[in-house]
Amino acid sequence: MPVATRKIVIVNQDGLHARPVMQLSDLANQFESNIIIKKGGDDPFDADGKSVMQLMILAATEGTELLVEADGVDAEQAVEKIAELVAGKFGSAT
Amino acid sequence: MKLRDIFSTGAILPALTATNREAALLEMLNALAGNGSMAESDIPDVLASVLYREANGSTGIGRGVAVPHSRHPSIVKMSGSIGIAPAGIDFSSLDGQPVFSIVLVLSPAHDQNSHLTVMNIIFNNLQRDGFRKLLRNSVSVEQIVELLDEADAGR
Repeated sequence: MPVATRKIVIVNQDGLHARPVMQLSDLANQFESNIIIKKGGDDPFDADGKSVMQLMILAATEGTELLVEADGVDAEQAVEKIAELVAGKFGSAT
Repeated sequence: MKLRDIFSTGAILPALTATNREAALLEMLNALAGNGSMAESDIPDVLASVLYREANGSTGIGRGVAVPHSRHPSIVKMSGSIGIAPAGIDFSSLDGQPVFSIVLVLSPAHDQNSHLTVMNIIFNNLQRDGFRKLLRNSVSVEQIVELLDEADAGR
C-alpha cells in the first residue's frame, strides 16, 4: 500500500479547536487510507485522523507542527487535501 | 505494556469526593503519592503541569471521560490514577457535559514512546462504549481492576 507523509503547521489563530477538528475528521473520513496525525514535543500524541476525540487531545495550538501519515490507496491525495485544509486555516479568516 | 502495571490498586478511586477539576486531580495525585508512585513534595508542581496542559486544551474529550496527563521530570516510572465522580465534574469538555471518569497519566519526561503507547491503549479502550459505561458505573476497586484486566487481555 502507498504511504504518504507530510509535515504541517497549524496557522489558524484558534488552533485545532472544536470546529476545525470536526472539519479535519470529516475530511479524513472521506479517504480509504488510515490517517494518523502525530504530535511530538513535550506533550506527544498519535491521533487517528478520523476520530474527533483523538484529534481533540492533540491540543494543537497555533504554531504547532504535526506530521500527517496516510497509508492506503489514496494516501497521497489524503495528505494533500489535509495539508490544504490546514494551510487554508480551515476556510476561515483567522 | 499493560494498564494494570500503570494503575495500581491504591490509585484507583471509585468514589472521588472532590466536586471540581483541581480538587479531583489533587485527590488523585495524593493517592499516587500515597502508594509511592511519586513524592508528596512534587504534588504541587505536577498538579501545575497537569493544569497547564488542560489550559492548552481540555482533555475532557466528551462522553463523560477526561484524560489529564503530564510528562514530568519528577516521575520515575509511568503511573496513573483512575477516579470516578458519580455526580460528575465540570472539565470544560468538548461536548459541554460533565466528566464521570478521570484517567490521569503521569509519564517520565524522557520516555516519549511509552507515553505514546499507553495513551493510545487508553484511548482505544475509552472509545469503546462498553468499556466507558462499565468504568463509569464501577463502584468498587475490584470492578475497575477486572475491567483493566479484561482490557489488557484484549476482551
